[in-house]
Order: sequence, then C-alpha cells, then structure tokens
Amino acid sequence: MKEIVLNNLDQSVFVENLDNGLKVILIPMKNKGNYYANYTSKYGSINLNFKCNGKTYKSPKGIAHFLEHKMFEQPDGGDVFDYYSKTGTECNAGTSYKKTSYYIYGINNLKENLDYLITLVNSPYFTDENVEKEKGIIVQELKMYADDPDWILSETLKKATYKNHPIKYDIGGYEDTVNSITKDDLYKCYNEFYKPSNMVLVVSGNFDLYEILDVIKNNEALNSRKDKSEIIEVKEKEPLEILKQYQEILNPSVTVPKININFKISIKDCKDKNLYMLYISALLSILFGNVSSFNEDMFKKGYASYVDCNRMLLDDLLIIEFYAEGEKPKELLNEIIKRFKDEKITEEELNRFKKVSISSNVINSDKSQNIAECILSDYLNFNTIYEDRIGIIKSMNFEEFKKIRNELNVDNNATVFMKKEE
Amino acid sequence: MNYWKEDFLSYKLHVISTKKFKTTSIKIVFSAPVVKEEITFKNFLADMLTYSCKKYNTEKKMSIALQDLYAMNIFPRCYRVGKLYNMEIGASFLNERYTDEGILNDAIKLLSEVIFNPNIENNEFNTTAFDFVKLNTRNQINSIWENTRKLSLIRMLEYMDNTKAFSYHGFGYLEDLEEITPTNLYEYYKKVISSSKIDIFILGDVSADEVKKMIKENFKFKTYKMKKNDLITSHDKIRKIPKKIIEQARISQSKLSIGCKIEDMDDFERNYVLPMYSMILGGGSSSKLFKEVREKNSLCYYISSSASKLDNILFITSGINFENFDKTIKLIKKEVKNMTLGKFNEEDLDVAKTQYITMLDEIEDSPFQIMSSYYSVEMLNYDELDIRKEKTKKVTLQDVSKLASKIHIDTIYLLKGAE
Repeated sequence: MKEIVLNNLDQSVFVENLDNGLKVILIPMKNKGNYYANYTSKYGSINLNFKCNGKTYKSPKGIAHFLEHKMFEQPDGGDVFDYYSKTGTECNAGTSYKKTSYYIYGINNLKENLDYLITLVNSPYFTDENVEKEKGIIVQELKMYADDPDWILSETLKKATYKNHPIKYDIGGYEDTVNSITKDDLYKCYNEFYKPSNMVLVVSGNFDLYEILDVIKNNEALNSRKDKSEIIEVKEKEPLEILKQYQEILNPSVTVPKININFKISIKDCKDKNLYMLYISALLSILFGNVSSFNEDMFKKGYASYVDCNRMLLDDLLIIEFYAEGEKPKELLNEIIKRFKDEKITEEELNRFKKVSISSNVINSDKSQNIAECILSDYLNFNTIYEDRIGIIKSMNFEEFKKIRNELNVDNNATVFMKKEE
Repeated sequence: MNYWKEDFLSYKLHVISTKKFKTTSIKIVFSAPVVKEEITFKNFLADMLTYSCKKYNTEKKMSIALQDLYAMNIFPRCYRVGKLYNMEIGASFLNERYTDEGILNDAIKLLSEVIFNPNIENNEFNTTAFDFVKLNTRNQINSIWENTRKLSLIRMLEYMDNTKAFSYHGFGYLEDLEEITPTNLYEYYKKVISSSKIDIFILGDVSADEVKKMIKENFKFKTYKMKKNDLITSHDKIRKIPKKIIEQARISQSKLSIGCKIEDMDDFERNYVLPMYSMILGGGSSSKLFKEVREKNSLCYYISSSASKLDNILFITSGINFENFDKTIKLIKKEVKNMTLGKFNEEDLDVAKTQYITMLDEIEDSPFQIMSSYYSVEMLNYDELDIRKEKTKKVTLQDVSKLASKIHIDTIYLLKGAE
C-alpha cells in the first residue's frame, strides 16, 4: 500500500492496486464520526459501442443507467435499501456521462456495509422478469425529467453541438430504447465494463485502515472476478464543427426566457490537461464570475439577468457552457466573445483566483464525501492522485495564463434560446 | 465541544468551541411572526443586504472583499418555522491556521458592515442594486412554475386551508413584489433590525471571551424584547371526506400531493412519535408507501411522506401517470388505514429509530446543523441532542398506533399532466 501525503492539507491518502486490477483508495480522517464509500465503474452513458467476440456491439441508449438500477436486484429477493436502513446508512447510485457510482454514507457498521456493497456490485442478477419490471419505473423517471425546461434546453443544445459523440443522448436513454433492453444486453455490458480493472473503490472518513483493506481483499464475490481483458471501445470521430449555430424553441412551463450556449474548442496538443483546466477556470472566474462585473453589465444592457458558466473535458475537446436567463441571446453571445478576446486581465486577478482555489481545496478536505469525490475525479479524469494540488495552484503564472487566453478559439459555438409558449 | 450562551437583551450570543473543523461558521437569525404580505419583503431584504453594502457598494467590490478573506462565504436564507418567518445571514471562512492572522476579526467586521451599513443613499436602497435584486426576486418567484412537484404541494396546502401559516410558501408573491420600493424596503429593514428576536451563533476553534469582545465591538443592536410567540398551528376543522382537486398543467408526469391533518398532540407525540410514524409510512426505501406503490406496483419513481411538526400536518407526494391516479390513491389510503390498524411491527419501528438517530448523529459532522440544533433548543423548545436520541428509543408500537388514529387524510390534489 502506498501512502500519498497531501501537501498542506493535514491529510494522507493510501492507494493499493489489487491483483484483479481494482484500484483501492483509502482516506482515513481524524475528527470525523461518519464514513463515505464510493465504488465506481468507468462506465457511463457515453460508452455505447464496443468489440464483443470480434464484432462491434451497439448497446441500447440508457443501458448504463438501467444497469445501475438492476445492480440492486438480488437472487434471494432481499432488498438492498432494507439492509442499509437497519443501520441508518444511506445508499444510493448515480449514472453520469463517464461513470456509474454506487455509494454508502453513514456512521455505523462500515465493515459489514462495505462488504455488502462490494458483493452487491460483483454479483449481477438479471432475469427477463426483473428486467421487465424495471422498465415501468425508469420510464417514469425519464418523464419526471422530461417536464423540466432546463432538461429540454440542455438536450437541444447537445444535439446542436455534437454530431457523433454519445454525450448528445440523454443519460437515461429514451422510452423506446429502454423498452428494448434485454437481460442479455445487461450481462454483455456488465461483463465488459464492470471488470475490477475498470473500477475504483474509495473509502473516506472514520475507519481503521488495515481493517477495511482486509474487508476489501477478503470479499469472495470480488475475488471470483478474474477477467482482466482489455476493453475495446468503438468510437466515431467527433468533428469540430457545430451542427446548428442558433435555434429558438418554445416551452409552456418556462416563465423567464433561457439561453444556453456551448463553445466547442480543440485542445489536441495540450500536454497537461489538469493544469490547463485550472487556467481555464481562472479565466472564466475573472471574465464572467462575481468578481467581474459581467452579470451587472449584462443586466444593465438588458441582455440577461443571471449568467453562469462551466467547463468540461471531452476527449480532445474543451467545452465551455453558458447558461443565462434573459431575452437577448445574440447580444449576449457577442458580449461573451468580446470578453474572451478583448477584456483586460491582470496578475492581481490571477493571484486572487489562486487564493480562492487553495481555500476550496482546504474546505473540501474537511468533508468525507467531498475529499473522496475530489480524489476520485482527479483519478478518473487524469489517472493521477495529486499529492500537491496546492503547489500546482501556486505554480500558475501570468505569462502562461496570457498565452492560453490568447490561443483560445471561441468562434465555434452553438446557442439555444427558449421562450414561453403562449 | 463547549457551548456558551449569554443574553445581551437585544440579542443572544451562542458560542460553540470546537477544534473539529477547518472552518469557522457564523449564523445570525432574525426571527419574527410570519405575515404573508411580508414574506416577499424579507426575501428581498436578505438578498439586498448580502449583495452589496455601503463599504463595498457593487457586487464586484463585495466579491473581491470576500475573496480577499480566502473565499469567505456570506449567504442569506429565509424560511418559515411554524408561525415564524426567519431571515438568516450565514457565513463561513477558513481557520487562521490556513490563512492570515486576524481573519476572525476581519470576518466579523465584514458581517457588521453587511448588517448595519447597507447600501443606502438618501434614505433609500441604491437603485442599481435594487433593480438587479428585484429582477432576480421576480425570477425566483416565477421559478415555482418550473418546479411542478413543489407547485403541487403548495397548491394542495392552499386548498387545505389558506388562512393558516402552512399555506404560505417561501418563494414569494408577485403582487407583494410590485409594492416594494427602495424607500419602503429601507423602512422595512429598520423595522427588522429593531424588532426581531436576534440570535447569533459562532462555531469553530474560537474562545467565548474573544468572540464576545469582537461581537460587542462590532454589532450594535437596539432591539425591543420580543414576547414569546406561539409557533404551533391548530386546525379549525378536519374534513371527514377528503377534498379532491385536479388542476391541469402542460407536463407529462402528474404530480400528486396528499395532505393529512393531525389532531392536537402533546410534546412527546409531536417530537418523537410523529417522526417515527412518518418514517414507517413513507420515509424512504424501506417504507410502506415505497414498497407498495413503487416496488410492488411500479406506479412511480418517487413517493414519500413528510411530517411538519409545528403545522400539525403530514403530507405525501408522488409523481405518477394520470391513468394510475385512482389506483394510487386507493393504495395510499390503504397504507394510511393500515397504520391505524397497527399493521407494522417492531422491526419497522427499529429501522425508523435507527434512521432517525443516525440522522441526529450526523448533525455532529456539520457546523451549520450543529448551530441549527442549538437554535431549535432555544427557539422551539426542543430537547438537547442526547436527550432526543434517548427519547426516540423510548417510542413504542402503541404510541405510533395511538398517533395514527389522530392523522386524517384531508385534501387530495393532483397537478394533472398528459393522459
């Protein structure tokens, strides 16, 4: 087991790679009564097509999410939620674009609860009957989201942004694709993507390091998983071009018009994506955050009353997304582009960002769930656990910042404008 | 953890000293009886005070000042507690160990600017800031239409009894928003500062003496002493046959909300038995409603019950397809009836107790939840945490059955979606 001392955070992380390929990350914390365990597969809604027995298999959209629901099925009919309720432990799961996570959060009985979780995730049990039953529940879940104007807005923008990339599909799939799923589909995808070598287990909070490592190593269901074969995904190239630059849609529930914009940027030649994303975060904070006057300016001009932005890595693409409430999408877009290109940025502003970023790291390191998720996120995105995140932040320099800013190409963008349907 | 409290007449100061966290947290609560027409005023005021102040009179200057204090966070929160409506200013910042010396003093000074020196010019709030916050408040009020699950619940409570506090919601009301001006909002601010019951909580690696000194130097409240108010709502009548309302909306999934009125309870029933009842009936995936309506009949993705202790109300919410409306109601009524017939066992009660006590245990890992629990002792006459855990364990099956007979389905509301 390897110890990584997190610099300036009064915290260590312990890492062990098991023989079957599972990566185990343990974060014992002082002063905590609770614990958090997260068992994640690097399998999300975007992992659709892969080589199976020499042929390309195209899985039904929404299957990763369906699989997540079915993992809770047990051959003896026992109820997972029942089991965890007995000790007042919270258990839940979630599927996102790039991963599926199963987690528990509680105060008592970690050893038994963790053992149960590991067994659960390594013991698939799908039958025609239990697959059929789940369809009704999932379709209701899809309908719940389908009433949300923000969800509709986001789906429309994704379709305008991506030609081939599976991120454009809804994570849960669609009513017809969900209804088409069979138990064979589920086993196929499970066997491929739930191999221990494609998974990671993180435990943080109040626990004894060696006791918990033993529980993990001695779990029978996990030990029975021997397949370490390579996963060969079949991906279509995603062109840089946007599909639809501007569109307007109507919605009966919305009261304030909404604007959603994506910038699609190539970062093929980027060597250190982690550091690059830090600089991008700094740029967005300085140009569009509360310390800029962007919100107030857009309000005064009557373009938008609320503007928020985010950034995401997608293979060799950087996606910057803006969400705003307002009536002038084209004017807003022009203002955003103007800021990206012309707005003055100072070293003082970068230094302030660094201060804030360091604070976030310290604050996150104080909560079991937060620190586990940060470490997990670094590992999933960059295949690294950084021992000196604070040092990396401190190393950001103004020259490099200006260079990245100048080279950023924001001409490739898509806008969706949602108005109230009368 | 050490708890120290002192009454300074115009406010009470509570200091909780602990080395457990890497941050220091502060909570300032302004409490007053709820008046429906003032809800929007109070929400607006809370946002105005934290948006900018006289010293940092734009959002940008305010954000910079906060970032300079190592990303200190100041946030407003308004909410109803029984018959009270509270305005809360919360703050959190890193411990001195990770920042510069003197941060506690700087943070308290900044908070005093926010509370005592708002962005006022010529006896009215700065109009630029006012306009910005007004638009955001309007958007916030309108966002209720996008949250159809919440909307269904609010409509149900209004139909249940719109004369009672439980039918008031915290989103705010457009008709009241139109009445607010930079001038009358300033008048309202003066009223809130001088006539609310004020409690200040500080939690972190601090000593009561140093905090007391800094607060006394920086916070100059002149509040009249507020008389203790009755918090609990009693019902004038309970319908023998539930009122049923269906309203149409352009959504695909129908949102069901069922309101139950509860006859008067004693303190033990209200604080200890009622939560057990609600957990057994609909408190999560082991509950009767979840098992029956979702797992057994696949009729919904979510269904849960929630008890509102001070309102004498229990409500059940679920998202369903319209064609399953009658079937779902029938199943829910059956489960509620089963509770009165005692159709639950020791294991159900044990699970509910474990869940509830774990929830109480978890409070100790969150600074704001710890402060809230001390507030509940102060304001709502709750028992202290240890006693709450002990009394929860004492609830019996009989207690729950007896309470079940006091709970009556009163109003059934469906926000109807597509057929």
